[in-house]
Amino acid sequence: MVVAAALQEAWPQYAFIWDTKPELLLVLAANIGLARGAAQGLAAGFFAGLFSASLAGSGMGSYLLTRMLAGYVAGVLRRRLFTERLRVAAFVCAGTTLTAEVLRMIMAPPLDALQWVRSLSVVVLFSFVLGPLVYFPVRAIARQWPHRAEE
Amino acid sequence: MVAFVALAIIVTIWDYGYRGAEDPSPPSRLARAVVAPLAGRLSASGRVVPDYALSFWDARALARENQRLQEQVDDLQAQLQAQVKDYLERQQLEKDVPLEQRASSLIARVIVWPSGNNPAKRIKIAAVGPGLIYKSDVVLQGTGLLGRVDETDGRTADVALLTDEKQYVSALIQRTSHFGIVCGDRQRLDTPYGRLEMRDFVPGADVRVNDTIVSSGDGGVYPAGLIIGEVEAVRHTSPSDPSLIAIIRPRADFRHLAFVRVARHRG
Repeated sequence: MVVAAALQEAWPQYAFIWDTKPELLLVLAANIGLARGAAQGLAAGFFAGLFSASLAGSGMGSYLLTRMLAGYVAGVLRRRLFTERLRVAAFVCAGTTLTAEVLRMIMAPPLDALQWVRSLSVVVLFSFVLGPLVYFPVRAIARQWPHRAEE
Repeated sequence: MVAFVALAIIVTIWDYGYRGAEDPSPPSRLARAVVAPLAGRLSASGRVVPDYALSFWDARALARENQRLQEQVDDLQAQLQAQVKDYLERQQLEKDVPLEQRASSLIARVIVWPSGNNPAKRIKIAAVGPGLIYKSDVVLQGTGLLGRVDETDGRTADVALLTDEKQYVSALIQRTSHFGIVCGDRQRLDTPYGRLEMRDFVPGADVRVNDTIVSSGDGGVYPAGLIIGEVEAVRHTSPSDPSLIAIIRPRADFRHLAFVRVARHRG
């Protein structure tokens, strides 16, 4: 989670699309939920929200809530979808990112709606592309430790 | 799960208390302290990638530019060498020609040199500096006679060289003052390129190897006293003919002409 936060903070300028960078912490939280379940997804979402809010400098409550929710929902979907497929990871990450950002927009409305829509589309695209790439190592690490029964 | 939810509520309330304050809340500060060192290292590394990409792109462009500049340098060096050679020839020419002769003559540059292996019979020259070229002016290289101006427009001229077997110069042996006729070498098979021959000597003429041959001034085509060359060999016209032919090594170098001197002569 620390590495993801550092990567997000140090994302190079030439890799920005429309002045927007990916939400790596959110993608990681969703992938952990997808790989390990709702509880771990919620915990990962907590730390993702904490780091995101610290780096953003504001909105601790909205970041915590949205990231924890994303991790939890991804964990719930683990039992309902065939999560071995990378396409599933891509769509889940994109979906949870969209949901989380829309929720955060409701809690902390942006000043420029058009700019927000443009940024949202880029962030969702980033999540769709990076989701499967992050899911690979997360799933490999998750397989090292036997999975506990869902609460 | 409940623990994390409770923790989230506590952190949110705690952070809310620092809203508007200059310093962030302790949880924020702690999170930043953990992430900041690694983020700094990653930022520095991230700048390397575009630098390398740009360097690779620039390197190709630089290589092309370097090649173009190298070709330019080669051309300029060749031009410089040619100009240095011309300059040295001109220096030698001015050294060879006495000052009083320079006043009545002008320098010209050879601009058309016929190609091929046969000795050149005609060249085209262009005047360098002020002055005009007149028909029948005499053309020299240093102190050696080259030929005479055949046609001219004032600044450029066609020159008929002595190597043309149809050009005849009335000449004499400087040592003995015996007369003869100098023309282009007709017997090219056994003589070096660019030689002249002297024939039609007066009966009993005494001609020896290394004798200097000069123009006699007879006929008015060339003024008297111009050095044509030195005798290289003497032979008979044929085994049955006692007439002598002297092979002359010209004073002027007919194979390497760049600058020549055009002397005024009213023939």
